[in-house]
Amino acid sequence: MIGHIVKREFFDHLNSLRFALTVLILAVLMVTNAVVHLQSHPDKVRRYSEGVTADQNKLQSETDLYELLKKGPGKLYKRPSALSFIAGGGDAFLPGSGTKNWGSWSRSTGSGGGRQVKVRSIWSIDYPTANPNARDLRPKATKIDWVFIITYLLSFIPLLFTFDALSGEREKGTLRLCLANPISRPALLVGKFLGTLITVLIPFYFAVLLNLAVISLDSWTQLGAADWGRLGMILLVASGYTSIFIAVGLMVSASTRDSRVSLVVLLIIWVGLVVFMPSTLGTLATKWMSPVQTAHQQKIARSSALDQINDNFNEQIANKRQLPTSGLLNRLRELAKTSPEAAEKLAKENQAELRLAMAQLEPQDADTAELHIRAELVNKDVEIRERLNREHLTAQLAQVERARMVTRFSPAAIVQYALESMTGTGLNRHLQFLDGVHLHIRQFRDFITEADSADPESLHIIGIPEGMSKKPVSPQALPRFEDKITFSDTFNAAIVDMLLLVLLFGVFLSGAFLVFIRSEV
Amino acid sequence: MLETRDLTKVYNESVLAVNELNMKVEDGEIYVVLGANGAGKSTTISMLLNFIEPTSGTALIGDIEIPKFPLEAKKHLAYVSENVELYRNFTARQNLSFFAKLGGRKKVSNAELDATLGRVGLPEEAFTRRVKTFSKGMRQRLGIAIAIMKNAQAVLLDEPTSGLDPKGGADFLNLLRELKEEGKAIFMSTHDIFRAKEIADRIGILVQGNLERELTREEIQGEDLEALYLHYVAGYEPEEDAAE
Repeated sequence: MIGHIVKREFFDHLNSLRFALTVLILAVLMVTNAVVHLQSHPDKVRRYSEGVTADQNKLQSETDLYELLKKGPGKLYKRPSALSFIAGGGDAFLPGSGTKNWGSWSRSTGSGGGRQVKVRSIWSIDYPTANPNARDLRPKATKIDWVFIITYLLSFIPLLFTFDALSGEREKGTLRLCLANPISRPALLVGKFLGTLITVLIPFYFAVLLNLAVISLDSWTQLGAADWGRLGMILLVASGYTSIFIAVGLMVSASTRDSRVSLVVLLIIWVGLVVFMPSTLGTLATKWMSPVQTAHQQKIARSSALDQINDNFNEQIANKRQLPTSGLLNRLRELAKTSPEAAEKLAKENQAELRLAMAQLEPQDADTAELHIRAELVNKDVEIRERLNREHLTAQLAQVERARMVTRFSPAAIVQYALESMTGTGLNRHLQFLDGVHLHIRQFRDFITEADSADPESLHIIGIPEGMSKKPVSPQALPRFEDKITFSDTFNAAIVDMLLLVLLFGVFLSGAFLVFIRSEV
Repeated sequence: MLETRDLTKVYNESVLAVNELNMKVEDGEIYVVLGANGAGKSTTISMLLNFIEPTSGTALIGDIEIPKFPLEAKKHLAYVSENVELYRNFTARQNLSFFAKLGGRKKVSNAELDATLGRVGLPEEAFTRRVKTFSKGMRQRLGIAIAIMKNAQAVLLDEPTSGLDPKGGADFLNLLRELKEEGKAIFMSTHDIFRAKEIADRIGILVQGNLERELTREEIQGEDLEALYLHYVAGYEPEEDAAE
């Protein structure tokens, strides 16, 4: 019985002007998207490949362990998604790499002893920004990707097909005629729902096929099995999103007797859910949040913390050179002759002083102690910089996450986030990329420590050239960074948004059922 | 047989639309219910088709209680409404086929569809024409074709002759007579007392939800139905009027 309703609904729409317009608009937009992708994607892939190759070559040419530590793993590039034509994901506002190249400082201090002490910084993680100096971040033109087509058109078109689905039949008297037959209201509603879903999805899938056919002409976009899997999920998400708006359309249509009223109500709902909420709610949400540190504030905080460790460093160096140690050594010598146990006790009580005193007597040991102080400065410098950078990034991300959370009241925002995640673009993808970057940096540093430990001639003082192994490092042994987009990563990032879409669909379809069952025919 | 037993509908706990209606339409009988707007005619038909739940009482088609088993009951009920537009983008044949399948027919041949369309007097060229080009009379004929195609035990007609021209009305009544001959129980609501007098085996007069009077075929012929109708519906007394 439902089948007859579905068939009638579909064939009725098939004969309508709105169906013809739907096919035309979707096809034109999808082909436009594919053509624009063909023009821009090869450049992105080329830039990525060239960047990765250049940085790898630079890294491979470095065989000195300290130089590797000092210059770091170089820029770590984010691989452009093969499905970027589906969702740009605001990539223009997200950096294409996870780290900056090495920026150095060197410091000399000579207080007290008259001898100059030189300290050079080593590489630390510094997150680049995509638009550091931009004053206007608005896009120059609306980007026609699948996200645009799906969020705007696959919400609007279902409303055009459903605004009169029940109110129109009520006006024409066909609803009474249908329900005078042995068919229940829920069955009739399901039939109408499925009929409209098929009507909307056929032109959409047709436009998708056109899009993919054009994109397949591009040798730079090679889709693997995982990409096809993600594409399948994306189509599923798009179909789910369409279903939500069909349910909304049926709910409103069931509650009114006049199709014009139904259309006006649905247009207001559409503007609210799809146009107004995603943009305005995000802006409002950020207004009530505490602002993130500005670059200037961040610079002041960093300078203050670094000045502190620099002062400590100068103090330590000065103390070392002015330490009155001869008295201690003489006393120990005298005591050792009469009571070795008392001498040992005194030595234990003044261990630090004694170490420096010995170092002063033996120049090599004196240098070792100073090396430790210098390494401590270098490592503390890295730790402070990375901690402050991470805190700044976390604050920025918390703000973005909160804004996204608030905008999730709109199905359009939810579907956008889900599509970006499945495509491998946008914020979730960037966070996954940063996780990969952090993991690689840990591996890179572990590699340096292990290579240094393996050299018996090294002093194992990581951070300064004199304290580290001089043995050349095999370039093949260096850990390589490779950014990957896997199905499970993208799926896991999208799962919450997909569940939210299912929930919304359930709510609106139940609403449509309740309204229709209670309404007069 | 179509029957109502103390069938009552109260809207919003205060507006009495139908009050303890008891009537019976035998197979092969045409029962016409007359009444002014708001008398409860459409509400009665809506309850018979389970579009609305009765507040109390019940209705039966054969042995099947309509409010309890609506889907089963609707297999035995056909409905012709006033001014039905049908699906405008579909042809007469497509509309008929769709409603036949909705009524429970598994397969319907074009020959059977055409025969039914021909029986209700639609010209052959109209079979494959879109319904949006049809006149009201043609749409009403198609509506009765849908009811015929369902081959239901009872046919409910809600003011089916309103807006029809004299010839269209006469043709329509002939179709009803044919259905009666086939043994269908026909329940029709109307304002049209002349057509009611012409076709009805029994007439019920509904006033504010109450069945005020029921007339048999013999009584109908002997009564001044117009005066009776005006008396019940408008409280109009022709004698007094004439005396003045």
